[in-house]
Amino acid sequence: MNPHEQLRTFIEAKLLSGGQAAGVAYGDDLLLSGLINSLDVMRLVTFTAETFQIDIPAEDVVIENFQTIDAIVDYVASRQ
Amino acid sequence: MPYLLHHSVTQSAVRYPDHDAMRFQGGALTYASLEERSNQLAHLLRDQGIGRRDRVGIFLDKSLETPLAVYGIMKAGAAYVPLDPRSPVSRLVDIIQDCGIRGIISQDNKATILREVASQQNILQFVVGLSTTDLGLRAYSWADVAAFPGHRAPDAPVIDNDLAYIMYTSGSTGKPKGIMHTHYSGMSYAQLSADTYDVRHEDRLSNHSPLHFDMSTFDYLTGPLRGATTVIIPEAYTLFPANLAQLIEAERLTIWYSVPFALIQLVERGVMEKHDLSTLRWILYGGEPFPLNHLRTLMERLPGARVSNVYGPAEVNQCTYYHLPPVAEWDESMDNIPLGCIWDNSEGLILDEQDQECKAGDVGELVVRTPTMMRGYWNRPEMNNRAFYRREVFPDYHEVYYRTGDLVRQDSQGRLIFLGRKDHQVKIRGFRVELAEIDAALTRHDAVEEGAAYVIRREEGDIIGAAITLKSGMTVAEQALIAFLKGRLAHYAVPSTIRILDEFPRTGTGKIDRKVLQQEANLPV
Repeated sequence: MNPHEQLRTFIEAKLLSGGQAAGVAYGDDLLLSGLINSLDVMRLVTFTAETFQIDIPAEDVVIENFQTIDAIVDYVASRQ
Repeated sequence: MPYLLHHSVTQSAVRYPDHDAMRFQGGALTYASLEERSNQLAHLLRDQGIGRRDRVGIFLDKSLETPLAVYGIMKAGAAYVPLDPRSPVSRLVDIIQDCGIRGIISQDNKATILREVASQQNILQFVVGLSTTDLGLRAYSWADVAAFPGHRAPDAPVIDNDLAYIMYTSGSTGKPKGIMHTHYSGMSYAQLSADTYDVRHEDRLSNHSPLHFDMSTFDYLTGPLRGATTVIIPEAYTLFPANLAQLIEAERLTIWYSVPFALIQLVERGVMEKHDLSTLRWILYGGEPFPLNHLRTLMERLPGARVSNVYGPAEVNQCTYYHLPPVAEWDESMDNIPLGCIWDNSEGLILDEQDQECKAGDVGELVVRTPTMMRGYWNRPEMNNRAFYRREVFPDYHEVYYRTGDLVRQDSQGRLIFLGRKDHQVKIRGFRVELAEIDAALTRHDAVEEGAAYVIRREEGDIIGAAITLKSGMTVAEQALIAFLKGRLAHYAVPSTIRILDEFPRTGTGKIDRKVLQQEANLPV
């Protein structure tokens, strides 16, 4: 799987459970829907750090880096 | 002096026309433009037949349209009714039918849900703020609004005893109940809170709370009274505390008001040390207790800010405050931070089970008499009988107090100490949740025999859990039941986990023993 797919699989399976996982596009705003809570954000950050083996400092946990799957992939690339 | 809530904007537009009244994501509304555009909206609403004793809904995400809606509706003579932008259709329909909402101010991304709402009741007649017109309702865009005159508000007859807003909150019967506030109670709150926190024209207030949560009245009503600037904070910023810290710095906020949750996030993950947050002079929090270790860290990092514990159910807006001493002066009384004293022009009594005043130091229910008190619950005569305590002062003369349902005692310094609730109401991230409402929603599922909700304590904020028993021969998956509840309850009231039991633990009288359920759920893992 490429990074986009890995993130999509994780988000659909782990964060958008309960019948809401109707296919997330890479450019979809993950925050707009209100489906993700603060616990989900931390899980997403941990998953991203572990999967792509990068260090994510607290000041990088900002909307610009985690708003869409595309944004996360761009951020990961900038840290590798 | 302004005596109706919308007079605040009109007065501030004369004094400070070019000063920002509201800011959101880089955009701004000056007092002059807020005045002009809310006048236009009021004219359109009058054109739709809206006036005194009407209700108009506000179904908007956080935006600069929200203050236009708040003030436009009041200028038309009507009361505004905030609708949670994440409400399921059934809850919206309940509220529209409960208080007879004929018009709603909304936005394009709500068109689908509004179409469904329109098909399920016949009270709602029009929507403002949409560019689509195929809802089965009259629909008007903001361009339509702009065609109306803006230089003055319409002549709408309103007195200070008319309703200004209705806040819907969780109700124990499973139906939300509407808390009615008048211009008098709202303006009394704006005045008292502005005085208590010395809000000034130069101040920059946060609007963290959503409009349907009662804390928003400070941001929306107190700020304009003093010609201050209110900065509307995007919802996602609570999830990203580093953004929150950036925003506080960039917007030079001076007064922050929120539930503790947002501030805990800021302390834990906001990278506060990398931002200059020294403009903050007041941090107000309320809605639930603040964990002491986080509060200490917050105050140590912001030595220039004073911190105040704000207390008051939405029914009275606010009724006590406690300005915390500096950390160096904390003693053991901080283990349960006092609610403080009843504020000006108000009175509190502590009553026992027989409605007699408690002896000094005894625990009882707090009842309050304050000009900031609601008129009552919309269309709930029996509930209103129970909500108020009437004390006869002279024959034929009663003082009316609101029964808070909160158990308190007074300490040796006269400060009120909170000790719990009389009923099953709980707070989740500051939102009031009636556990009985969740119970009722659970049993609406075909497979569920009985259900009971409870609170699971978590360091990062409490969550709701629930347990059910099944009807014989029926099954339901946990996730499917959670999805079912999402369609019926406010998002913060939906349980995070649901256990299926063979039978419920019971009390001696045969009631479900919620305490046992709660204890089981809170065992350390």
